[in-house]
Amino acid sequence: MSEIILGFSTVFSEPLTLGLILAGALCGVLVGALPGLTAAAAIALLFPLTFHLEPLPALALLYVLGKAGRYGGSISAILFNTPGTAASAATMLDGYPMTRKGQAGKALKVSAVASAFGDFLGELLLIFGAVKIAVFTKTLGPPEYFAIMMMAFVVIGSVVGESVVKGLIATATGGFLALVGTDPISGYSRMTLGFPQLEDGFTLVPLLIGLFVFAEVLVQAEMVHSKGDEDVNFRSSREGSRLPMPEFLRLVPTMFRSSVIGSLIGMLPGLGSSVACFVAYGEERRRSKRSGEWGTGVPEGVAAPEAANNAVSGPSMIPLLTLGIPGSTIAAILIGVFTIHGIQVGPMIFDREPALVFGLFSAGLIGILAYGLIGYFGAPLVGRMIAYLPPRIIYPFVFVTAFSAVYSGNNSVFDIGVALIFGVIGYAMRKSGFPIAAFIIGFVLARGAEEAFRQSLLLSDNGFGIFLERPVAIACFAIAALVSVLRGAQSLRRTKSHAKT
Amino acid sequence: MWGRLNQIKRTDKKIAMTRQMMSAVVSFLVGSFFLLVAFGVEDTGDDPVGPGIVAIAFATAIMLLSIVLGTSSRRQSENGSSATFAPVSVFLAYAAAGLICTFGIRVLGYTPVIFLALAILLWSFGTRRMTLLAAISALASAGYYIFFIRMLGLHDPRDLLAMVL
Repeated sequence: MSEIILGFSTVFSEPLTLGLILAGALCGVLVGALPGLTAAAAIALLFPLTFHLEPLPALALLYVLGKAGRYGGSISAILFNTPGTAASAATMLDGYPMTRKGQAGKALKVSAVASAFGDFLGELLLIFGAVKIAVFTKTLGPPEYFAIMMMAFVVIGSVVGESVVKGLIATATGGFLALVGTDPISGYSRMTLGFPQLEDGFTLVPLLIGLFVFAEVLVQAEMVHSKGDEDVNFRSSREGSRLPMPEFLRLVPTMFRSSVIGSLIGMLPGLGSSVACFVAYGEERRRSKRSGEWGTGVPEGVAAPEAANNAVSGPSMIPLLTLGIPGSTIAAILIGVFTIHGIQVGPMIFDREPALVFGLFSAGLIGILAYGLIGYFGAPLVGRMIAYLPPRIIYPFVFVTAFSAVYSGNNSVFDIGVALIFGVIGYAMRKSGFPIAAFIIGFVLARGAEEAFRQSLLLSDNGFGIFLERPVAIACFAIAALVSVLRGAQSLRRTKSHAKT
Repeated sequence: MWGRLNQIKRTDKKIAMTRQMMSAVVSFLVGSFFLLVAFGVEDTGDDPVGPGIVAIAFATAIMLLSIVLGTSSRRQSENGSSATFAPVSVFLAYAAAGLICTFGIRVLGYTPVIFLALAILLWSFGTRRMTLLAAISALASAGYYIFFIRMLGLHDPRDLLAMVL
């Protein structure tokens, strides 16, 4: 408890950090509400602007931006039947019917309250769970780390996309590209193809902006050509805008159960908000006495997925802070922020940087309150703003902002070229079903995995046998094998059933 | 009617199969290229396995997985992929804006590059009124100049506006 008080006092003693938390909450809601632009894209865009900040304000801004972005996606899901982010896809099922019934205001309020509720519970789990887990993970050595990272590669590659094989190919491709540049053990340059700019490897910023932002510009350009601007009128009566206290209290058990589901899913690497929202929606619908009414605009159908998808946010940081393994795309980007500021992520961070870690947790709690209030009172306004800004105007600006963000990283023309090429690669990956999240997580993990692998062999008297001498390592390899076999079998069953129909 | 529906289904499956096979071939070629590059890494003798081994493992994994993808393409029904691609004009606009941003920044400087890229993209996204297009691009490029160059201190190789102002 004293640590979290230390965190709050750190945040409140720095007005810049506090201001950036509020800015992150506002920007996150706005960007998340824009169909197509995800929280990860917003973080990628703002990432270079944080290079000159101290670690805490930089991390607080991006962390809160990610949280608020997850929530913001529900606004366009409810008002326009278009999820701002994949995590809000389940919210559409009852959110949009509520809008059509003239209850848009109520749906937006339920979404804001449920998101903040779920996120708050998830953040508490992070605060109290991460410290406990870190005590155990401090005892792990390079062989265990290598096994854990291999498990993460396989599990994330297998579960993030529709196809296990494509997920694993994306992970391996990201992993390979991460190895380009100077070898950390020998110090020799490798696989740079003669480009001196690649001596330090591919920089994370152009890669992220290319895959998330430039690729999205291409997708949106295609959609504008195929569909044109959408009709985005919505209305809400005075009665349909209210969320009375008895109705709120009726939603609390739904929000609580869904938050628990979201938190548990969030702790598992790779299974993000988009999975949590559908699991919680399905479970609550199954439990409901009025399950037949679900899909026609019931508030529980908004509360359940929103509480679950935001509850993922905090626990997805647990693997990052206790093992140095990102559990989600946003966590993968945050590793980059830690690295740029020279901070090693892992269990020792709780001993070395307590003010930073608990300051970040406190920033998360303040950010939840901030976006909850913005959403509760301002979501209809955000919806109207987006309605007046069609994609054909927004996305050209997104392109030039992304270009400016890439250029601002190192003032490098090479980086702009890399980002543009990765934009096309990202577009092709999306079109052919290769998950970008798997690619990014592979990219972020590979260097650490390689180091752990080679350090293990340097320590070993028994060659590769060192990996079979450690129980944790054996367990991780077994889990990786089990998950890939189960997912492969599931994929095969689905393919056979498709073939039959 | 039923026969026509079956024919459409068969055509869709054929397209899906071709796409899956294309994905597999491209992945295999990428994996092969990676393997070639990884084999070029010199062994330094500093550690038991050398600096190229993990890269070789990744490249081999990509090649093997792409073979699995290719062999399963007959059974696949193309889950999670879209059937349409952006029209060529979109790619041309993207390439033009990209080339201007990449090569123009050293020659023209930041603000003209923003103006041109924005104008091209607004046009490609469907804004056809030239006066509106020019006005938006001019105002926005001035705004970007103030924010990124003046406020955030981004390096502008030409800084034409500073000369004019």
